[in-house]
Amino acid sequence: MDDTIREILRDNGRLPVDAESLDRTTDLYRAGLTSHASVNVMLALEDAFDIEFPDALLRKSTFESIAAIAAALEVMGVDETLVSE
Amino acid sequence: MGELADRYQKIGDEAARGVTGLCSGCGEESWRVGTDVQLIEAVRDSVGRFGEDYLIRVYLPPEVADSAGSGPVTSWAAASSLAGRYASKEAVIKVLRPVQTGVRWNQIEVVREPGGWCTLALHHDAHRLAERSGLSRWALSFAHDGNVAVATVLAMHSCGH
Repeated sequence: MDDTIREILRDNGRLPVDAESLDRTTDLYRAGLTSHASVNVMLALEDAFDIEFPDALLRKSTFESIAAIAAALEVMGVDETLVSE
Repeated sequence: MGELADRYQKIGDEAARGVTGLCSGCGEESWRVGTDVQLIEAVRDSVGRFGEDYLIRVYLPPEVADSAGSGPVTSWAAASSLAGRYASKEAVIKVLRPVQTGVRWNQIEVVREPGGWCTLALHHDAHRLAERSGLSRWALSFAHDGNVAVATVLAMHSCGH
């Protein structure tokens, strides 16, 4: 799951750093993720995992790190083996 | 210590008279302000990349229609307006200060008034959160130039306790 999240951050996060270099707990906002870029990341995650983020997870903290994103996906019942093409 | 106590006594008395701009219920500042800045290029990129998925999640149909005008929603002019609206929504969220849950961007509407200026309309959970927080008398101003849009939002807070 982390690999998919990193790929989505690389392609949609508009980060000034290489997503592969980010530790799981790195603060993504400090790494350059903006609120608008988090919208792109959210949409890409929804497309990749065929989900829709509920209101309760539309918080800034949901996207604050790779670990936080992974935890949110797990709450939504994402099974990485079912990642959409 | 006495001086500090006297100072707070004075603040309390003035708040009760509505003089200092502090909420008479909780002592918080009577006005909340939120500001946000947004790159127009990033919004245009999102429209191009995600299309309707992006537009539906972030904006209401009248906002998209007003931003696009008679041209395509993929135009720079449309992106400039959408970016201003996005910055406005983020500024509103900063004023709302949601804690337990997020606020959907498409529950915050930037309304173009007939005279040309814009106002705010909050819907559903955004409206309920504003009411619970004692927020009213919302005011908005946004602008864009070059690759940047900026928005500032004010709301009055009164918890009425």
